[in-house]
Amino acid sequence: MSDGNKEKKSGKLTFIILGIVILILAMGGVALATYTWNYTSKNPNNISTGSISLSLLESTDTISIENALPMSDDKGKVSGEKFDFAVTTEASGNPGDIKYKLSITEVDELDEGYTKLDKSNVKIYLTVLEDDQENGTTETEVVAPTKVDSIITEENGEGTLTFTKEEYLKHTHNEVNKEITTKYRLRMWIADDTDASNWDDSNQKNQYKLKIGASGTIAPIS
Amino acid sequence: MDNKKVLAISITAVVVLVLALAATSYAMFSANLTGSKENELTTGYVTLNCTEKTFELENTSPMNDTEGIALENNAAECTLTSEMKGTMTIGYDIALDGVDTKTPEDGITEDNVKIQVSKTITEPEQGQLEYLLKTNNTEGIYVSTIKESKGQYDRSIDGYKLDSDTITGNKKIVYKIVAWVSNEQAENTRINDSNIVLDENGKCSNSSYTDKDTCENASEIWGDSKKSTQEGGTFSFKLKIGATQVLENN
Repeated sequence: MSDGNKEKKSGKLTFIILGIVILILAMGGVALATYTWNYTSKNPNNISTGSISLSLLESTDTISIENALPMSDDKGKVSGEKFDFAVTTEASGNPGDIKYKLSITEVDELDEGYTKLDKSNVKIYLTVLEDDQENGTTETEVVAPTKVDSIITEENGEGTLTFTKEEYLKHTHNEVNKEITTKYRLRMWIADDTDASNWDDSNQKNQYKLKIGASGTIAPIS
Repeated sequence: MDNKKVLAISITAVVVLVLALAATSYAMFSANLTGSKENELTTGYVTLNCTEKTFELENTSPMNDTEGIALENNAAECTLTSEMKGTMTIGYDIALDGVDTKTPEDGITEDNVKIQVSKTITEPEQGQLEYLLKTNNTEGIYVSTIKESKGQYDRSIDGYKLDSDTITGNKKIVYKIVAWVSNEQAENTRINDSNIVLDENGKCSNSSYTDKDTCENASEIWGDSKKSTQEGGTFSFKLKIGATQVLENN
């Protein structure tokens, strides 16, 4: 066989092998061309909130009773040591109901020379103060006279107040930039079933202190 | 070997390959027909579609799971419809997409937005509602908890997967994603905590009075105010679905 023929034959063989390789690749390509489908929303889903704030305005930092004597609930509801505070919510939008809770916290730091009363000897009573054009300021009971030890049951010295009228724990914001305030009056006295017979010692001075706390769905979200 | 033999072998190989190619292609979209008078071979088809409902919830406030689930106008829906002729199995992933990409630096992020996810097969027969992820009829999960959840069938889904499943035949599956801003972190922060700053010394409970005497004469309360503010923001998300044919030898 001449060299020319050999070259022609070799060229044909190369061409055929190349064709087979291309066919194999094509077959593999078809085998991989499976069905696929992708979808992405055209429009996003959006949730937005406006700026919301909660304020607690207190006439004093704490409420305390010192050297008081036991008294009945009827008397304590009128003449117990009182402490006024107000809760205000503000919203830049109109988010509807903003709920909050009120709590009391036992204060461990007493004034010098005082002995801490046990919380089972102390009662509190909470009312809402409302303006009435005819009768001046009216008081509506929201927490009946209750011993502190049945409110503060945790070791952290804090307990949430359970309201008999929960509607006061909700501010409904249906107008933009509205500010809503609820005013409260807390009274505190020594429960009348307290044994005060050993308080005759004039050297012992008793004291009990509480702080008010407010928390809501509007505190900063970290 | 002479030229004719080489050519014959080559042609045979090509024919075999062509037949194999045709057989493989047929296997991709196969239809099994029996009992017809005429012998027919028809290629199958498949169509997937998502009919979506989106929501725009403005001026909402943080809330608990029960309130969030009961809220209105806070549910996104995708009705996934498959129409197939022939026998084919499609694997798909459905995920959240573009999560909070619009305003990532504002007060509302994936760390305080919760979702409840469910799916219900409505066709060919009405099925039971099934809650997905770790949600149920009273509890949701934070969006951030599924951030690392990747697609099983669509590798381009690299997070926020809601579900992976396969689908065959004609079906309708309704996916529902309910979303709300959670108040759980806020519940742990109290206004008398040390991190709450004093807002104003000497303030009246009625802001129209600016001194103590006029304030108290009006039966208002005068004192110091502490204030806690949550800045507003927007959280947004889309839905994404990636589907691919599941081959029998996979």
